[in-house]
Amino acid sequence: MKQTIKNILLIALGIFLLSRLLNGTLSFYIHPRFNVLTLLTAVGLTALGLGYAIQQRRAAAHAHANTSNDHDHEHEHAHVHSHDVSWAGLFLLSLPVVLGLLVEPRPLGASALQNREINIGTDVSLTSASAPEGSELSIVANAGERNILDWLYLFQRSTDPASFNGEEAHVIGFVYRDDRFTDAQFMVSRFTVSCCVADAAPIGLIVEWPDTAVLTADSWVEVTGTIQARTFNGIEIPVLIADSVLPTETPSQPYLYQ
Amino acid sequence: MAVGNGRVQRLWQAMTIAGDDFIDMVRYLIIGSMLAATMQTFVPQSTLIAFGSGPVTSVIAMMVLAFVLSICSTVDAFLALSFVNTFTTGSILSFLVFGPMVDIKSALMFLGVFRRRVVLYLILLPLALTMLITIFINLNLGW
Repeated sequence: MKQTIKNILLIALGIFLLSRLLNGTLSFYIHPRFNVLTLLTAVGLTALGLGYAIQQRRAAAHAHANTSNDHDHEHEHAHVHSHDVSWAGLFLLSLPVVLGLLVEPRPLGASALQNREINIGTDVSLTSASAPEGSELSIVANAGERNILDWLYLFQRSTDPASFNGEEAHVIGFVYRDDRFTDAQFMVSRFTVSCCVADAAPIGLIVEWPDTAVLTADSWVEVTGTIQARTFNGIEIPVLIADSVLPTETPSQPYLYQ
Repeated sequence: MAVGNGRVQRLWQAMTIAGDDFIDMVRYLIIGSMLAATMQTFVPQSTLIAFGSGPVTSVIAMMVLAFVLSICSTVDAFLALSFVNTFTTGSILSFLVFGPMVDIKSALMFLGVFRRRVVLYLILLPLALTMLITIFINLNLGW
Protein backbone atom coordinates (compact mmCIF):
# COMPACT_ATOMS: atom_id res chain seq x y z
CA MET A 1 0.00 0.00 0.00
CA LYS A 2 2.61 2.53 1.09
CA GLN A 3 4.88 1.36 -1.69
CA THR A 4 2.16 1.95 -4.24
CA ILE A 5 1.44 5.43 -2.90
CA LYS A 6 5.14 6.21 -2.99
CA ASN A 7 5.35 5.16 -6.64
CA ILE A 8 2.29 7.21 -7.54
CA LEU A 9 3.67 10.25 -5.73
CA LEU A 10 7.01 10.01 -7.53
CA ILE A 11 5.31 9.80 -10.91
CA ALA A 12 2.92 12.61 -9.96
CA LEU A 13 5.82 14.81 -8.91
CA GLY A 14 7.52 14.15 -12.25
CA ILE A 15 4.40 14.97 -14.23
CA PHE A 16 3.73 18.03 -12.09
CA LEU A 17 7.20 19.43 -12.76
CA LEU A 18 6.85 18.67 -16.45
CA SER A 19 3.49 20.46 -16.65
CA ARG A 20 4.90 23.53 -14.88
CA LEU A 21 7.77 23.53 -17.33
CA LEU A 22 5.50 23.18 -20.35
CA ASN A 23 2.96 25.85 -19.42
CA GLY A 24 5.72 28.30 -18.48
CA THR A 25 4.69 28.86 -14.87
CA LEU A 26 7.98 27.34 -13.73
CA SER A 27 9.56 30.70 -14.49
CA PHE A 28 7.43 32.23 -11.71
CA TYR A 29 9.66 30.33 -9.30
CA ILE A 30 13.10 29.71 -10.75
CA HIS A 31 15.45 31.14 -13.35
CA PRO A 32 14.92 29.69 -16.86
CA ARG A 33 18.48 28.37 -16.93
CA PHE A 34 17.23 25.53 -14.71
CA ASN A 35 14.70 24.41 -17.30
CA VAL A 36 16.86 21.60 -18.68
CA LEU A 37 17.65 20.36 -15.19
CA THR A 38 13.97 20.42 -14.31
CA LEU A 39 13.19 18.38 -17.39
CA LEU A 40 15.80 15.81 -16.40
CA THR A 41 14.39 15.72 -12.87
CA ALA A 42 10.87 15.16 -14.17
CA VAL A 43 12.03 12.31 -16.40
CA GLY A 44 14.10 10.81 -13.60
CA LEU A 45 11.30 10.92 -11.04
CA THR A 46 8.80 9.37 -13.42
CA ALA A 47 11.25 6.64 -14.40
CA LEU A 48 11.99 5.95 -10.75
CA GLY A 49 8.30 5.67 -9.87
CA LEU A 50 7.67 3.31 -12.78
CA GLY A 51 10.81 1.34 -11.98
CA TYR A 52 9.77 0.80 -8.37
CA ALA A 53 6.37 -0.35 -9.53
CA ILE A 54 7.85 -2.88 -11.96
CA GLN A 55 10.28 -4.15 -9.35
CA GLN A 56 7.48 -4.53 -6.83
CA ARG A 57 5.33 -6.47 -9.23
CA ARG A 58 8.24 -8.73 -10.13
CA ALA A 59 9.04 -9.40 -6.53
CA ALA A 60 5.41 -10.23 -5.83
CA ALA A 61 5.20 -12.58 -8.82
CA HIS A 62 8.45 -14.11 -7.75
CA ALA A 63 7.19 -14.74 -4.24
CA HIS A 64 4.16 -16.54 -5.61
CA ALA A 65 5.82 -18.65 -8.24
CA ASN A 66 9.21 -19.48 -6.91
CA THR A 67 10.24 -21.62 -4.02
CA SER A 68 13.29 -23.35 -5.44
CA ASN A 69 15.62 -20.33 -5.60
CA ASP A 70 15.23 -19.14 -2.07
CA HIS A 71 18.37 -17.10 -1.75
CA ASP A 72 17.63 -14.90 -4.74
CA HIS A 73 14.07 -14.45 -3.64
CA GLU A 74 14.92 -13.33 -0.15
CA HIS A 75 17.49 -10.91 -1.37
CA GLU A 76 15.08 -9.17 -3.65
CA HIS A 77 12.26 -9.25 -1.18
CA ALA A 78 14.41 -7.74 1.49
CA HIS A 79 15.50 -4.96 -0.80
CA VAL A 80 12.03 -3.89 -1.78
CA HIS A 81 11.06 -3.38 1.82
CA SER A 82 14.37 -2.18 3.18
CA HIS A 83 13.44 1.47 2.78
CA ASP A 84 9.91 1.60 4.02
CA VAL A 85 8.64 5.15 4.07
CA SER A 86 6.52 6.39 6.93
CA TRP A 87 3.11 7.95 6.44
CA ALA A 88 4.58 11.26 7.53
CA GLY A 89 7.24 10.92 4.85
CA LEU A 90 4.61 10.21 2.23
CA PHE A 91 2.58 13.19 3.38
CA LEU A 92 5.59 15.47 3.00
CA LEU A 93 6.40 14.01 -0.39
CA SER A 94 2.85 14.76 -1.47
CA LEU A 95 2.99 18.40 -0.33
CA PRO A 96 4.66 19.89 -3.42
CA VAL A 97 2.12 18.28 -5.73
CA VAL A 98 -0.90 18.95 -3.52
CA LEU A 99 0.04 22.57 -2.85
CA GLY A 100 0.97 22.98 -6.49
CA LEU A 101 -2.48 21.85 -7.56
CA LEU A 102 -4.37 23.82 -4.90
CA VAL A 103 -2.54 27.12 -5.16
CA GLU A 104 -2.74 28.91 -8.45
CA PRO A 105 0.73 29.76 -9.79
CA ARG A 106 1.31 33.46 -9.41
CA PRO A 107 4.42 35.59 -9.82
CA LEU A 108 5.65 37.81 -6.99
CA GLY A 109 3.76 41.08 -6.86
CA ALA A 110 3.48 44.29 -4.92
CA SER A 111 2.61 42.42 -1.72
CA ALA A 112 6.05 40.82 -1.66
CA LEU A 113 7.54 44.27 -1.97
CA GLN A 114 6.62 45.29 1.54
CA ASN A 115 9.21 42.87 2.88
CA ARG A 116 12.04 44.12 0.74
CA GLU A 117 13.85 47.29 -0.02
CA ILE A 118 12.97 48.62 -3.42
CA ASN A 119 15.73 49.68 -5.73
CA ILE A 120 15.48 52.88 -7.65
CA GLY A 121 18.99 53.02 -8.90
CA THR A 122 21.55 52.67 -6.15
CA ASP A 123 22.31 49.00 -6.36
CA VAL A 124 21.81 48.00 -9.93
CA SER A 125 25.22 49.21 -10.98
CA LEU A 126 26.88 47.21 -8.27
CA THR A 127 25.11 44.09 -9.35
CA SER A 128 25.79 44.69 -12.98
CA ALA A 129 29.40 45.59 -12.37
CA SER A 130 30.03 41.97 -11.52
CA ALA A 131 28.27 40.77 -14.66
CA PRO A 132 30.47 39.02 -17.22
CA GLU A 133 32.42 40.95 -19.83
CA GLY A 134 30.49 42.14 -22.80
CA SER A 135 27.29 42.61 -20.85
CA GLU A 136 27.48 46.26 -21.79
CA LEU A 137 26.54 45.20 -25.28
CA SER A 138 23.28 43.86 -23.95
CA ILE A 139 22.03 47.37 -23.29
CA VAL A 140 19.36 47.96 -25.85
CA ALA A 141 20.27 50.81 -28.13
CA ASN A 142 16.70 51.66 -29.04
CA ALA A 143 15.30 53.73 -26.18
CA GLY A 144 11.74 52.52 -26.76
CA GLU A 145 12.75 48.89 -26.22
CA ARG A 146 14.59 49.32 -22.95
CA ASN A 147 13.03 47.73 -19.92
CA ILE A 148 13.15 49.04 -16.35
CA LEU A 149 16.41 47.25 -15.58
CA ASP A 150 18.04 48.62 -18.74
CA TRP A 151 17.13 52.17 -17.74
CA LEU A 152 18.45 51.85 -14.19
CA TYR A 153 21.58 50.16 -15.46
CA LEU A 154 22.11 52.86 -18.05
CA PHE A 155 21.76 55.62 -15.50
CA GLN A 156 24.25 53.97 -13.19
CA ARG A 157 26.83 53.55 -15.89
CA SER A 158 26.41 56.96 -17.39
CA THR A 159 28.57 59.91 -16.37
CA ASP A 160 25.96 62.30 -17.64
CA PRO A 161 22.46 60.94 -16.97
CA ALA A 162 20.94 64.24 -18.00
CA SER A 163 21.85 63.40 -21.58
CA PHE A 164 18.95 60.94 -21.58
CA ASN A 165 16.48 63.67 -20.81
CA GLY A 166 13.62 63.63 -23.27
CA GLU A 167 14.30 60.14 -24.59
CA GLU A 168 11.19 58.17 -25.17
CA ALA A 169 10.57 55.22 -22.89
CA HIS A 170 8.12 52.38 -23.02
CA VAL A 171 8.14 49.97 -20.09
CA ILE A 172 5.92 47.31 -18.55
CA GLY A 173 5.67 46.61 -14.84
CA PHE A 174 3.29 46.41 -11.93
CA VAL A 175 2.01 49.39 -9.98
CA TYR A 176 3.51 50.01 -6.57
CA ARG A 177 2.67 52.90 -4.25
CA ASP A 178 3.35 53.74 -0.63
CA ASP A 179 3.32 56.78 1.64
CA ARG A 180 6.47 58.20 0.12
CA PHE A 181 4.76 58.94 -3.17
CA THR A 182 2.72 62.03 -3.94
CA ASP A 183 -0.70 61.72 -5.54
CA ALA A 184 0.83 62.27 -8.93
CA GLN A 185 3.48 59.57 -8.59
CA PHE A 186 3.70 55.82 -8.61
CA MET A 187 6.34 53.27 -9.29
CA VAL A 188 6.32 50.88 -12.21
CA SER A 189 8.14 47.86 -10.83
CA ARG A 190 9.53 44.48 -11.70
CA PHE A 191 11.40 41.85 -9.74
CA THR A 192 14.84 40.75 -10.84
CA VAL A 193 15.72 37.14 -10.22
CA SER A 194 19.23 35.70 -10.22
CA CYS A 195 18.53 32.15 -9.12
CA CYS A 196 15.03 31.68 -7.73
CA VAL A 197 12.33 33.83 -6.14
CA ALA A 198 14.12 33.53 -2.79
CA ASP A 199 16.60 36.09 -4.07
CA ALA A 200 14.08 38.21 -6.00
CA ALA A 201 14.87 41.91 -5.71
CA PRO A 202 12.40 44.61 -6.66
CA ILE A 203 13.41 47.45 -8.96
CA GLY A 204 11.35 50.30 -10.34
CA LEU A 205 11.04 53.58 -12.15
CA ILE A 206 9.21 56.49 -10.56
CA VAL A 207 6.43 57.59 -12.88
CA GLU A 208 4.83 61.00 -12.85
CA TRP A 209 1.22 60.69 -13.86
CA PRO A 210 -1.64 62.89 -12.67
CA ASP A 211 -4.24 60.12 -12.67
CA THR A 212 -2.77 57.69 -10.16
CA ALA A 213 -6.09 57.43 -8.32
CA VAL A 214 -7.50 55.17 -11.04
CA LEU A 215 -4.59 52.72 -10.80
CA THR A 216 -4.93 49.65 -8.63
CA ALA A 217 -1.85 48.50 -6.80
CA ASP A 218 -0.22 45.38 -8.17
CA SER A 219 -1.95 45.65 -11.55
CA TRP A 220 0.24 45.46 -14.63
CA VAL A 221 0.59 48.59 -16.72
CA GLU A 222 2.29 49.69 -19.88
CA VAL A 223 3.80 53.15 -19.44
CA THR A 224 4.84 55.37 -22.32
CA GLY A 225 6.52 58.70 -21.77
CA THR A 226 9.81 60.54 -21.64
CA ILE A 227 12.76 60.09 -19.32
CA GLN A 228 13.89 62.87 -17.02
CA ALA A 229 16.92 62.68 -14.74
CA ARG A 230 16.21 63.74 -11.15
CA THR A 231 18.43 63.88 -8.13
CA PHE A 232 17.26 61.75 -5.27
CA ASN A 233 19.33 61.33 -2.08
CA GLY A 234 22.35 62.55 -3.97
CA ILE A 235 22.11 60.17 -6.91
CA GLU A 236 20.67 60.73 -10.36
CA ILE A 237 17.72 58.48 -11.03
CA PRO A 238 15.48 58.21 -14.06
CA VAL A 239 11.94 59.51 -13.66
CA LEU A 240 9.39 58.65 -16.28
CA ILE A 241 7.05 61.50 -17.24
CA ALA A 242 4.12 59.51 -18.54
CA ASP A 243 2.09 60.34 -21.60
CA SER A 244 -0.06 57.29 -21.23
CA VAL A 245 -0.55 54.54 -18.67
CA LEU A 246 -2.49 51.59 -20.00
CA PRO A 247 -3.52 48.43 -18.19
CA THR A 248 -1.95 45.31 -19.63
CA GLU A 249 -1.74 41.56 -19.15
CA THR A 250 0.82 40.01 -16.82
CA PRO A 251 3.77 39.20 -19.08
CA SER A 252 4.55 35.51 -19.52
CA GLN A 253 8.02 36.29 -18.21
CA PRO A 254 7.19 38.48 -15.20
CA TYR A 255 10.74 38.82 -13.90
CA LEU A 256 13.78 40.50 -15.37
CA TYR A 257 17.11 38.72 -15.41
CA GLN A 258 20.45 40.34 -14.91
CA MET B 1 15.38 -15.50 -12.05
CA ALA B 2 15.42 -13.45 -15.24
CA VAL B 3 15.82 -10.04 -13.66
CA GLY B 4 18.72 -9.51 -16.05
CA ASN B 5 22.42 -9.90 -16.28
CA GLY B 6 24.82 -8.31 -13.82
CA ARG B 7 25.22 -4.94 -15.43
CA VAL B 8 21.54 -4.17 -15.86
CA GLN B 9 20.86 -5.32 -12.35
CA ARG B 10 23.62 -3.16 -10.93
CA LEU B 11 22.43 -0.15 -12.84
CA TRP B 12 18.99 -0.78 -11.49
CA GLN B 13 20.33 -1.10 -7.98
CA ALA B 14 22.15 2.20 -8.30
CA MET B 15 18.91 3.82 -9.37
CA THR B 16 16.83 2.44 -6.54
CA ILE B 17 19.44 3.49 -4.02
CA ALA B 18 19.42 6.98 -5.50
CA GLY B 19 15.63 6.94 -5.33
CA ASP B 20 15.60 5.79 -1.71
CA ASP B 21 18.09 8.48 -0.80
CA PHE B 22 16.01 11.06 -2.62
CA ILE B 23 12.93 10.11 -0.66
CA ASP B 24 14.91 10.10 2.58
CA MET B 25 16.30 13.57 2.02
CA VAL B 26 13.46 15.32 0.24
CA ARG B 27 11.39 15.53 3.43
CA TYR B 28 13.96 17.71 5.10
CA LEU B 29 14.26 19.79 1.98
CA ILE B 30 10.49 20.29 1.85
CA ILE B 31 10.16 21.21 5.54
CA GLY B 32 13.18 23.49 5.27
CA SER B 33 11.90 25.23 2.17
CA MET B 34 8.54 25.80 3.79
CA LEU B 35 10.15 27.30 6.86
CA ALA B 36 12.39 29.52 4.76
CA ALA B 37 9.45 30.65 2.64
CA THR B 38 7.43 31.44 5.77
CA MET B 39 10.28 33.50 7.18
CA GLN B 40 10.75 35.37 3.92
CA THR B 41 7.05 36.13 3.72
CA PHE B 42 6.38 37.19 7.29
CA VAL B 43 9.65 38.64 8.53
CA PRO B 44 10.34 41.91 6.71
CA GLN B 45 14.00 42.50 5.98
CA SER B 46 13.69 45.98 7.46
CA THR B 47 12.99 44.62 10.97
CA LEU B 48 16.22 42.67 10.89
CA ILE B 49 18.10 45.61 9.49
CA ALA B 50 16.63 47.92 12.10
CA PHE B 51 17.85 45.54 14.76
CA GLY B 52 21.44 46.48 14.48
CA SER B 53 23.90 48.97 13.16
CA GLY B 54 26.54 48.63 15.85
CA PRO B 55 29.70 46.58 15.33
CA VAL B 56 28.25 43.62 17.19
CA THR B 57 24.52 43.88 16.57
CA SER B 58 24.96 44.36 12.84
CA VAL B 59 26.88 41.10 12.62
CA ILE B 60 24.16 39.28 14.51
CA ALA B 61 21.46 40.82 12.34
CA MET B 62 23.17 39.84 9.11
CA MET B 63 23.83 36.30 10.30
CA VAL B 64 20.19 35.89 11.24
CA LEU B 65 19.27 37.26 7.83
CA ALA B 66 21.60 34.79 6.10
CA PHE B 67 20.04 31.92 8.03
CA VAL B 68 16.49 33.08 7.36
CA LEU B 69 16.86 33.83 3.66
CA SER B 70 18.49 30.50 2.77
CA ILE B 71 19.48 31.73 -0.67
CA CYS B 72 22.14 29.96 -2.68
CA SER B 73 25.75 30.94 -2.33
CA THR B 74 26.09 31.89 -5.99
CA VAL B 75 23.81 34.89 -5.63
CA ASP B 76 24.11 35.99 -2.03
CA ALA B 77 26.84 38.42 -3.07
CA PHE B 78 24.31 40.36 -5.14
CA LEU B 79 22.07 40.68 -2.14
CA ALA B 80 24.94 41.57 0.15
CA LEU B 81 25.90 44.40 -2.20
CA SER B 82 22.60 46.11 -1.58
CA PHE B 83 23.50 46.27 2.12
CA VAL B 84 27.02 47.59 1.62
CA ASN B 85 26.14 51.23 2.15
CA THR B 86 24.02 50.72 5.23
CA PHE B 87 25.89 47.96 7.03
CA THR B 88 29.31 47.44 8.56
CA THR B 89 31.92 45.57 6.55
CA GLY B 90 32.21 42.85 9.15
CA SER B 91 28.49 42.14 9.03
CA ILE B 92 28.49 41.90 5.22
CA LEU B 93 31.38 39.47 5.51
CA SER B 94 29.52 37.44 8.11
CA PHE B 95 26.53 37.25 5.76
CA LEU B 96 28.70 35.98 2.93
CA VAL B 97 30.66 33.51 5.04
CA PHE B 98 27.95 32.14 7.29
CA GLY B 99 25.06 32.01 4.78
CA PRO B 100 26.44 29.31 2.47
CA MET B 101 27.50 27.12 5.40
CA VAL B 102 24.34 27.20 7.48
CA ASP B 103 20.75 27.71 6.50
CA ILE B 104 17.38 26.25 7.46
CA LYS B 105 17.28 23.62 4.72
CA SER B 106 20.78 22.27 5.20
CA ALA B 107 20.43 22.27 8.98
CA LEU B 108 17.35 20.07 8.71
CA MET B 109 18.98 17.80 6.15
CA PHE B 110 22.01 17.39 8.41
CA LEU B 111 19.66 16.36 11.21
CA GLY B 112 18.35 13.59 9.00
CA VAL B 113 21.78 12.06 8.49
CA PHE B 114 24.09 12.94 11.35
CA ARG B 115 23.75 12.65 15.07
CA ARG B 116 22.33 15.65 16.84
CA ARG B 117 25.61 16.57 18.46
CA VAL B 118 27.40 16.59 15.12
CA VAL B 119 24.77 18.89 13.64
CA LEU B 120 25.08 21.16 16.64
CA TYR B 121 28.82 21.48 16.01
CA LEU B 122 28.23 22.00 12.31
CA ILE B 123 26.08 24.99 13.16
CA LEU B 124 27.76 26.34 16.26
CA LEU B 125 31.35 26.27 15.02
CA PRO B 126 30.73 28.36 11.89
CA LEU B 127 28.49 30.59 13.97
CA ALA B 128 31.03 31.24 16.69
CA LEU B 129 34.04 31.58 14.39
CA THR B 130 32.30 33.82 11.86
CA MET B 131 30.95 35.99 14.63
CA LEU B 132 34.29 36.33 16.39
CA ILE B 133 36.27 37.13 13.29
CA THR B 134 33.80 39.57 11.76
CA ILE B 135 33.26 41.39 15.04
CA PHE B 136 37.03 41.58 15.39
CA ILE B 137 37.18 43.12 11.92
CA ASN B 138 34.50 45.61 12.82
CA LEU B 139 36.20 46.68 16.02
CA ASN B 140 39.82 46.67 15.02
CA LEU B 141 40.11 47.20 11.32
CA GLY B 142 38.73 50.36 9.88
CA TRP B 143 37.52 48.86 6.61
